[in-house]
Amino acid sequence: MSQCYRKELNILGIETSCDDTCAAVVSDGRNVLSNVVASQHEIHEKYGGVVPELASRRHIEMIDIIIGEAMLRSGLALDDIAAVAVTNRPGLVGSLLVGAGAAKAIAYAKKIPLIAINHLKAHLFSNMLIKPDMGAGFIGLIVSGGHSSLYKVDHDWTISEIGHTVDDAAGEAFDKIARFLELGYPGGPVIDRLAKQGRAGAVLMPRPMLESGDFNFSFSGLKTAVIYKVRKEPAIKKPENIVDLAASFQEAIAEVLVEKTVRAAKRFGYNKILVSGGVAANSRVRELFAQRAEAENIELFIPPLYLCMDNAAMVACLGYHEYVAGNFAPPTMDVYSRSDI
Amino acid sequence: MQILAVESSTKHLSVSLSKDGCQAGSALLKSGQGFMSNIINVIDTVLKKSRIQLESVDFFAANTGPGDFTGTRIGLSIVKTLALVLNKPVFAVTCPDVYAASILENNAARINAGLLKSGSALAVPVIDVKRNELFFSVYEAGFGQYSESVASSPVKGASLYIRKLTDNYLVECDGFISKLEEVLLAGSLIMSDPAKTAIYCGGTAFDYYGHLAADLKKSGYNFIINRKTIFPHADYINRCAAYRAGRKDTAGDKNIMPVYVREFVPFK
Repeated sequence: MSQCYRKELNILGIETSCDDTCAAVVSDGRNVLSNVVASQHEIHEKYGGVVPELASRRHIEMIDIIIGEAMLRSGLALDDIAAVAVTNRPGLVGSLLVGAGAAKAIAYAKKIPLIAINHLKAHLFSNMLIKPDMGAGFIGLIVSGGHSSLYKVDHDWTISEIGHTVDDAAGEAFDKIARFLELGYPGGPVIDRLAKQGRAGAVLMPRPMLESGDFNFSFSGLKTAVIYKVRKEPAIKKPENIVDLAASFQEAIAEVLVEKTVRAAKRFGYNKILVSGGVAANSRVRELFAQRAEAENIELFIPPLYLCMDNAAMVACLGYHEYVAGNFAPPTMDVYSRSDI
Repeated sequence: MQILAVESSTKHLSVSLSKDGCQAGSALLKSGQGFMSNIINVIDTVLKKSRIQLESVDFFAANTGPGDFTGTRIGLSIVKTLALVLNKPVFAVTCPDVYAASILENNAARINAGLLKSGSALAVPVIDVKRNELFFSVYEAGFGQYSESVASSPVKGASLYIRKLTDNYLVECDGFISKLEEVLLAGSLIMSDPAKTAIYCGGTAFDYYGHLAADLKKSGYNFIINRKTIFPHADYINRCAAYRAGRKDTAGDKNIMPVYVREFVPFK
């Protein structure tokens, strides 16, 4: 009697597109064996945002340590890895090249395929780690400090961008307002925390581009509105009032994100929505999406917080699918600050 | 003992492979860009030409700078990870040390002749670190081997060694010559007859500041600038690494990071 054993396909993922040094090992595109993230928040905190040069400096310090830790936690040896997947676009070039260099070295030394990963596409695949049978045919919103874009993901996994921010990303607006109000960094979590004690309708805030007729976003004007309100009424910065300002600002962002995403789902006839990116960790964004999805009978997928933030598990997950499709990168692979999905 | 060294801290990318202290293969790419695209192919070319398998490399080495940020990080990310994957030690060689080894090697016969005539030989790597500033230090070449020695070079049946004598200095370009003179005099590094102390200079400063070589020659000291020592090459990283390995310093370096000459201040 013969038995057929199918060997698991283990992918090492590496992600250094912004300010987190990440490595993960994922088996068969669904089982996360390790997922290590070295956050740089304490480095960038005093500047109120990511400083690219500092991010790059930290990545080169940490990259081999984090990869070694991811391998250790996975319980596997590099000989058990089928391919190495790395984010090579879009992102901060000085950061991307550290991860890309490390990935190339591993692929070359172990004679395994190198897979180039689009960071945004990896976010769209992040929920596959929680619900592998989710399948395609959905509207995807990627909303973070660097991106605020809507995608139509057809049933054959053809991905089309249908909208994007025309100025600041939503997470960038959170960071800038937190910096303006001297609340700390990153802005999203601190505003989220304050907003829980405030009244979302207490301070009138615009809903930018809600009726623009397209699926683009704009958050720069919202940021300006907050600044003008504070200049006009300085008392609004007092601790007893700032919670209302935080709640109102957050509500405006959440409403625009939810409304445009739901409209996109209706417009393109999909009843599934995926939300990912750092802003998807915001409790009000999650709550509002859940309420609207239920009301509209739309299936909602928001990955757990650790998969919403930048991570290498999603890179390895997408790496698995690219591996199966035979999409390998040459040793001459480069990195790119901008890229379509 | 086989050492693979990568140099990517300037506009020239080079890779060098040595075997038992002798060069087994070397490649230089003067593209000025495309390091990320080309580096693996350059490493692969050197290994294949040398008929040496990557797995049989005993040590890795890289120039940690100071140098171009992007290039240095590309080289370090590759070298650190190769060492991690193959579980081999890696040597971090600073840019001044690379130049010191280069100056020694490229001027060995002349240095040897000067020393035999009771002269002395100094080496001064001068690195352009942008913002109109230069980074330099002073080394001494001689027949004696010291704990501060960073490389050696065979010459006519003997061995020359080069050791670091001073700290590193960061100065504005216009103040370089006076600062160098101050350092030389403070350390009594010049012989009573200045002509008997040969001061060999190299480094990217001589590429970026075309007037620097002429200014030095006007100073009254015996400055010698060899065009072969303007840019660092992986061969000399290899020399420094081989020297350390030859002295049983085989553990390599941990937590290798680029050398930065100033603290980065995002905004003032």
